[in-house]
Amino acid sequence: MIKYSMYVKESSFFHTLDPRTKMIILSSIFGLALLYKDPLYLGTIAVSVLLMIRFLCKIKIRRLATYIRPILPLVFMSLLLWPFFQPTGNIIFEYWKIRVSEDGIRMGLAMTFRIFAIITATFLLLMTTLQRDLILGLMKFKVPYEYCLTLAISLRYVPTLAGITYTIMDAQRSRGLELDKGPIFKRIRNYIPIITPLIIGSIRMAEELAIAIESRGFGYGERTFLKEIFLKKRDYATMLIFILILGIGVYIRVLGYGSMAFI
Amino acid sequence: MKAISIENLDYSYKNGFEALKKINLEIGSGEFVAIVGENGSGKTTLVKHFNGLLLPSNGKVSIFGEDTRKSTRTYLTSNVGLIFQNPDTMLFADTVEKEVLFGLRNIDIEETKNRVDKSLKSVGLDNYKEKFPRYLSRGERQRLAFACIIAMKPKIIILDEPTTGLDARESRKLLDIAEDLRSKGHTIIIVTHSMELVAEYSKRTIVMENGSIFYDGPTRDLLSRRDNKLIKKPAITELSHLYDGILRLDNFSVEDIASELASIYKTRGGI
Repeated sequence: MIKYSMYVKESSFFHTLDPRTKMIILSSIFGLALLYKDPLYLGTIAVSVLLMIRFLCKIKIRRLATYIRPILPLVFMSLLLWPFFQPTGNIIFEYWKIRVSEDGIRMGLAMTFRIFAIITATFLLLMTTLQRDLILGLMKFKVPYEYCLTLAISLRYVPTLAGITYTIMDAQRSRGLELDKGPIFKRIRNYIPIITPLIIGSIRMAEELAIAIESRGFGYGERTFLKEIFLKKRDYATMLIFILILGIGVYIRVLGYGSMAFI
Repeated sequence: MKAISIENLDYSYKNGFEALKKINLEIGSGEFVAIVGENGSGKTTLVKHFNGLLLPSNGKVSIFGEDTRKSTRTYLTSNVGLIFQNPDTMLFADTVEKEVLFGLRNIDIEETKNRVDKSLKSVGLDNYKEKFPRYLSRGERQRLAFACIIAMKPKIIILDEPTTGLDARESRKLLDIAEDLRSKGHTIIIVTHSMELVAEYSKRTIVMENGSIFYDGPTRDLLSRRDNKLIKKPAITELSHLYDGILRLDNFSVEDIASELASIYKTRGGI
């Protein structure tokens, strides 16, 4: 079942960090994931993120899997499609104009690990930070409150919209709609009765939400907060460590490691 | 043959929450049954088993003798119609007529025109055929959702909290349509919180509590029970209980009755 917030209540080291520190960690992981192109390096980054979630955040992989499962098709699509667009190097398989090469497979693996690392790192932030703290953190980085609220609402409404989608699917199945029946184009068309009420419902919900937040004084003037956040020693130390890791990563890359010959 | 028969039904959601526990139930053809209970008691989970939207974790649900696990969607849709609380989860077409046609095409019905006309007439929307469904009022949209199901001629019709957000007149209109269908042999199951409507329309009531059936029997007997805290009885039923209590007092005077009623009125904040 999808919950309204991805936050997992724990008393881990990561949970106690300031949201700004976690954003620096996230940026550092993003930087490393975008820097390297070798599947071995990217695989190491992806596994490290998983280990961080398990041991530094004390979050069970099973819990993480609930959120990762819906994005797995995207990850695997990258693994399957990349080999077709990188037909250089040793050809392993050839049929008509389709050539699958060793480089292509390595590229597919690299992109898969990259996407996986970036997504799980984002989950790392969302699973250890309350949305309220996330907004406060972003505001400390001088992001306007309107943008922060938009982000918070988007995150908050993903599970709500998923819930509405399931209800709509049930309602249409009750009218005999079989989503997974027929050829591919018919299956795509089958989603029209799902998507239309979902879009109309979302627009209506957005209108109501706008009225609700305006009626509570949104945009009236400067905003105050009940809770304040402060950077502690552990935050400075953690930030330093991750900036160093990124620095070392850049240095290794400049030395010529972590790339692939054909790129 | 019973319209619905359930044997030892258990259902747990993926997160491990046990929504239904050891449900045994039989509903005959032509019955008007109300399912009531607090939020989260398992009412909607139960009715979703009737048309195969959910399949039992344990036990068996049969619709006219056919196990829902082995039934096709077409069979279930043709026999069991489920109308959701919010009609907007259903409506997507650009005209009322197309909206009704959608379900008929899904189950390969050919005599569509006659069915569309009849179903729209039965819910009083026969003059709205070319209208955009979203422009209708909430009550009309709910009746349109009803028409979409009626057109498919299911022998069992389930209304899941159909009167939420409707005024008394629209609620009554909807329930009158349901009662009319029942008199023609359909089985009607209504999930609701409104005991007034239950008292008026339903002869049998099932009360659910924490995923189990707490009471299953005549509505009349349920309302005459004084100990039942699970349901909020209609005001008139409560008043009759209170009046009955006063009459049992020995040596009462008119003043006693007046003061007794006044104190009841005060504690309840009105009847």
